[in-house]
This record gives sequence, C-alpha cells and structure tokens, in this order.
Amino acid sequence: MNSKKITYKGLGIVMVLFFIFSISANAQWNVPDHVKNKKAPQDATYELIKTGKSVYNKKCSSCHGQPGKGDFLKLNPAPADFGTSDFQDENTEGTVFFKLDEGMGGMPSFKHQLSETDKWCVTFYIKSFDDNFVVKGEKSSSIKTNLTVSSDNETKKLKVKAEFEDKNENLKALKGADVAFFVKRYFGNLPIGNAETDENGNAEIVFPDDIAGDSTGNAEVIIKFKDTDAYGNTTVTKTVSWANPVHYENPLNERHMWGDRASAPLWLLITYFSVVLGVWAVILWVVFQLTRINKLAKK
Amino acid sequence: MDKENTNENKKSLNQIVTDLTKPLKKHYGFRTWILFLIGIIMLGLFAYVIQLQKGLGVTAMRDYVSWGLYIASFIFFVATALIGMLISSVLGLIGYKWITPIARIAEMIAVGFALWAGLVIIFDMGRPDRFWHLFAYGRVQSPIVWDVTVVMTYVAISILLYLLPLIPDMPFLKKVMTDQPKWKQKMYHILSFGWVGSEGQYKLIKKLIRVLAVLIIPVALAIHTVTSWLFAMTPRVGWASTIFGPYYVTGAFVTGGAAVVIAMFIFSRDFRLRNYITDFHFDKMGKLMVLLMLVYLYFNLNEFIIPGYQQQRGEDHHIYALFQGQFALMFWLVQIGGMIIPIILLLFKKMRKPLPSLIIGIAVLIGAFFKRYIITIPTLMHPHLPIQNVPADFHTYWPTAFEWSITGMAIAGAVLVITILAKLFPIMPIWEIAHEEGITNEEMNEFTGNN
Repeated sequence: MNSKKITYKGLGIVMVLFFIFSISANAQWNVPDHVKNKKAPQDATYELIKTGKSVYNKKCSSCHGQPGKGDFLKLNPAPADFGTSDFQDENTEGTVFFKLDEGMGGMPSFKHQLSETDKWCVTFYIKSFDDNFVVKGEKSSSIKTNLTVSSDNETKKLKVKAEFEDKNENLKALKGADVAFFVKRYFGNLPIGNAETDENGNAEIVFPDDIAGDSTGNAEVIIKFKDTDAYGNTTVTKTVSWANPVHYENPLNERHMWGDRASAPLWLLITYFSVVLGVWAVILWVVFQLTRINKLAKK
Repeated sequence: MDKENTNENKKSLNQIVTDLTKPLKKHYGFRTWILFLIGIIMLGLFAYVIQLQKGLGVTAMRDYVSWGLYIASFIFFVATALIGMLISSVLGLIGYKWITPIARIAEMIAVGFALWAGLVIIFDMGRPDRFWHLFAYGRVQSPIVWDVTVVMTYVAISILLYLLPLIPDMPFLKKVMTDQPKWKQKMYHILSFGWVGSEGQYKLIKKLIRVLAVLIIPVALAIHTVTSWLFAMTPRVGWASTIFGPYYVTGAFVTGGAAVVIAMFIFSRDFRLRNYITDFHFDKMGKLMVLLMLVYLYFNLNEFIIPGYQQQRGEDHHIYALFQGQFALMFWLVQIGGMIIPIILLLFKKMRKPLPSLIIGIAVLIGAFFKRYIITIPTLMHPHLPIQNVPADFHTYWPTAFEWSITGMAIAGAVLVITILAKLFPIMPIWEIAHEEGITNEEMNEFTGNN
C-alpha cells in the first residue's frame, strides 16, 4: 500500500516536472512591439551601470554567469550570455527590461522583486555590453590618480600618498580611498594589509615580519587602489629588504639520476664511458689487427 | 703420411669446397625468393612513406598504448639476434665441436636481426628526422641512450664475428668462383686481407676470434638486459620486475634457438648440405632447446606467480587480463603452445628429427613473437589512473595494416640480409670443417695454390 502511494507520488512529481520542462523548453518570448522602443525614464550613466552590476551579480549571475564568459548554467533553454553580439542585436533596452520584468519559463519575473530603478540599472548594465549603447557622463575611473610610496627602514613602515588630478591638472590629495598592499609571490600576490588615506592622502602599514624574501631578504611590494572602478588600476611597486632571507636549494643543480645531461651522476658517467670506450677500444684493436694479416703472409 | 692417404684427404677437401660453394653459384628458385622478399619490403616501404607523411596516427597507437607492435617487434628482433652469442661464442669457447657447421648460420641470424632491430626503433619514431637528437641531447641517465649504445656495439661485434671466420675461406672462393662476376671476385680478394694460410695468420685470426667471442658475451647480455630495462625501469605493473633482465635473456635464447633450427632445416635442404647438418645436429639443437626453454619456463613461473599470488592493487587487473580476461587466449596459446608443449615434445628423440624440429621451431618462434606483444601492450592498457573521458579508440589496441606491413618489411628485411649473406659466402666455415676432417693447413694451402 505504502510503496504504491510513494510510486504514485513519484510518478506525479515526474509528470509535473516533465510538464514544466516541456513548457519551458517550448515557450518563446512574446515581446510586444511597443516595448521594443521603450526607453528608460533617465539616461544611462556609469554610476547607474555600476549599481546594475552589483544587482546583476546578486540576482542574475547564478544562472547567466558573467557576460561574455559563456559560464551560464547548462539549462534547456540555455540562459542568454549578454556579452554576445547576437543577444545585443536582438534585444533593445526596452526588450531587456520587459524580459526581466515578466519572466518566462525558467526565467523568473522580477516585477515585484526589484525596484523600478534597480531593474533599469540591470538593464543598463546588460546593455552596456552593446558597443552602440550610449552612456552619459564620464567614467568615474577616468580621473587620473597617482600613488607615491616611501619606506621607513627603522619602523618597517610602508607609506603611500594618493593624489588625483583635478580639472586644472593639479595634483591634489585623495582622501578616504582604500589602498591595498601586496607582496609579489611566485603564484599571484599575497595581501599584507589595507589602509584608508587621510585628508592629506597618506596611508601606511607596517610590513609583517613573517614574509619570506629572496636570498638577500628582498621582497617586492605592490600597492594599488581597492576600488579600481573609482580610481583606476594605478599601481606602484617598491622593493624592500625587510623580508626573511630564504636560501632555496635547487635539486637540479646537483648531480642526480633525474637531472639534465650536464648533471648526470659521476659514477654513472664513469661507468658508462669506461665500458663504452673499453669495448670499442677492443673492437678497433681487432679491426686494426686485420691489417697485420697481410704482413704475416711471409712466413 | 703416405701418398694414398693424402689423396683421400684431398678428395675430401675438394668435396667440402664443392658442396659449400655450389649453392653460391646457380640456384633454382633463388630469384623468386628474392622477389618475394622485395615485394614484402616494397609494401612495407609504401606503408612507411604514408606513415611519414601522415604521422603515427595511421597506427593504432594512441595516448595509452604508445608502444605497440613496433616495440614488441624490436624486442623480438634483439632477442633473435642474441643466439649468435650463445652458439658461436659460449658453446664454441666451451669446446663443443658439433656447433661448427651451424655457428655461422647463428651469426648470420645475429647480423640480420640486429641490423633491423635498429631500424624497427626508427619506424616507431614520429619524427625520425630527429634521431640525431639522441646523440646531441641524450642523457646518459636514460636507458634509451644505453640501449642505442649497446645495439650499435652488438651490431659491430656481430659483423666482425661473422667476417673474421670468413677470411680463411676467401682463398677457396677466389679459386673456385672464377666463373662469377668481376665485382664478386674483387670482393673476395679484398675480404681475404691477403690471407695465404700461414701459421702466423692462423694464430692471429684464432686469437682475434677468441677475443671477440669473449667480448660479445657481456655485450650480448647487456643488449638484452638494457632492452628489458627500457621496461623494468618504468614503474608500471607487469614491467617493474627485478628479474626482467634474465627473463629477457633466457627468452631470447629460446627465440634465437628456434630461428637457428628453422634456418638449419632450410639450409640443409635447399643448399643440399644434409651431410653436414645431420640428424645429429638437430638432435643436439633439440636438447639445447629443451634446456633453454626449461630455464625460460622457470623465469616465467617467477614472473607471473608472484604478482598472481600477491594480487596487489593494480597488478590484479593486469594478471586477470592475462590469465582470464582480454589477453587470456593469446597468453595461454603463447605459454602452452610456444613453450610447454614444445618442451614436452622435444623430450622425445623422434621429435628431435629435422621435420618435427622445424614444426616445433616455427611454433616456438611465433609464440616468441606474440610473447613480446603480451609483454608490451597489456601493461600500457593498465595505467595507474583509470582510463576515462577519452575517445573510444584510446581504450583498445590492435595493430593496423600499416603496422603489420612495416613489421613485415622488417622481418623480410632481416631474412633478406641472411639470404644475401648465404648467397655471397659459404654458410659454413670451409677451413674449420676441413680441420675437423683432419685436413692440414698445408693441404689447404696446396689446394688454394698458396704454397
């Protein structure tokens, strides 16, 4: 009895799933003509696109992945990759807004989930991958920033001064910016601290005392802004001699069975060449002796 | 010695020279045989040109089975070549007289197969034009460098060991082969190195042969031990075995012994030398084969019973594939048909007669060829990590027509070398046979006109 019930239940679930699947697989977007030309109530700006990006990363990227990367979930039908020109050519600003507003099949409706502004921001973000999409204003990251670094050997402090160029191209202190400090490692960069610039644009950290350096204790420090969208990829590097010296032993420098041909073990070289030369010496001796046959003809 | 006795000996020497040089002259069916061999070689060459153009993709070798029929053939060729050392060197140094008529045959097999063993390796290379890299960039630590070294050394010593006992035969050839083309006579003259049969010359040539006969023993052991190390130095199931060296060497003697028995039969029939290679020699070779195969059986027992009993992880798959699985049919055919039944049969005197010996020899030789297949391929199909997510043809291996044709070319090529040598020079040392018949150096010199 019980097992029969479970069987019916299971069958029911399978059928419902199948039904949903068949609907979602067969459904088509039905976008009314008038929405295709619909425009946002305000112009797209870099600020709004940035907001849209953070909303997108929370709500959309789990299925759609990062635009242009093709890392969307393998569903049927496949979630669109917004980085493709196919998508951008087919979908206007209004269409994108309509689709995320209404939803269809596996794609949920965000009508009541997101505010009107957020929906437009996401739309702007998605459309920002269209080369013809017009964005008003200036990219905030287009301001020119400058980092200068200095070090204090006594206190092992790394000091950095952040500046930006104003409209008259004068350098002015950049305050309230987060600066990140790294040490360059073999694979990637190791974060060693963050600091916020004061009103003079200065930030500093103390170099940690447990960093491994090269054989003389040198290490390369990399300093950049945390918010690259706002301040750009301005980077400054400095080599400090405060790290702990590490002496690396390269096993390939010694003579080993697994070494290259120049570092073959001595015993092997001696064995191999003495045997080869010894045997070939005898062979050549025999060949040379053949010339004596003629001389020995006279008894 | 009185005059009558000398006359009788002279007649005997005359008989020996006639018997042994007759097949070098006119020979019925020789041309057909050469054309047959060249036909096989041309087919293989055609296949090889396509392989050069299209790459090793025309073979069945893929990522897992990267050593296929070519490497299996290579071991087979090196193995067959080893018999020269056993018969003409070891048995000769011990002082066995019965090997005199077959020692040169063994040496011809050694030269033919050792020469082609080196070529078979090149057939297996995807970029043979880079062969010289081995010398320019090779590491002394690599068994492949050792292998190339010993193969070249063995070829050199084998050629010398073939050539040196030929020198005292040259005056006979110069005397008898006067109806032959000029280039042949010139070649006999050059290869005689001015031999006139003086006492000093005999002393020297015997010394040189003895030196080489001693030298070739460690070199021959090295060539096949190093060949086995190509496998045993690789930590793979079925290969990483400490007895692989002696296992290969004893297996090689069985292979070469079978090749010698087959060659003995063909030469004694086709060259009409039944009075020289007699039932006695087949009987001796049969007994020798039993001894060699019993030693080989002992190594086989060790090689399979220990992993079979332990059933270590990884080994178990391999042993199962050989005993009961994918390779079971070939494995048991080779082990029983190519070793155990021949041992039992050869224990009987009747089975050591020429014809039964030939049939058993062929069975042993075919078994020996596929034994090398069994050694090479199954291990490669049992890698340390499971084979998964690869194209279907990575899972299996069976040689393509290209591989069979090119291997056929190698076998035909080795046989062609032996055939050409047998047509240019007597297949038995005239002077040694004459010595055994009690003919003195003076009488031989008188015959050749070097008095």
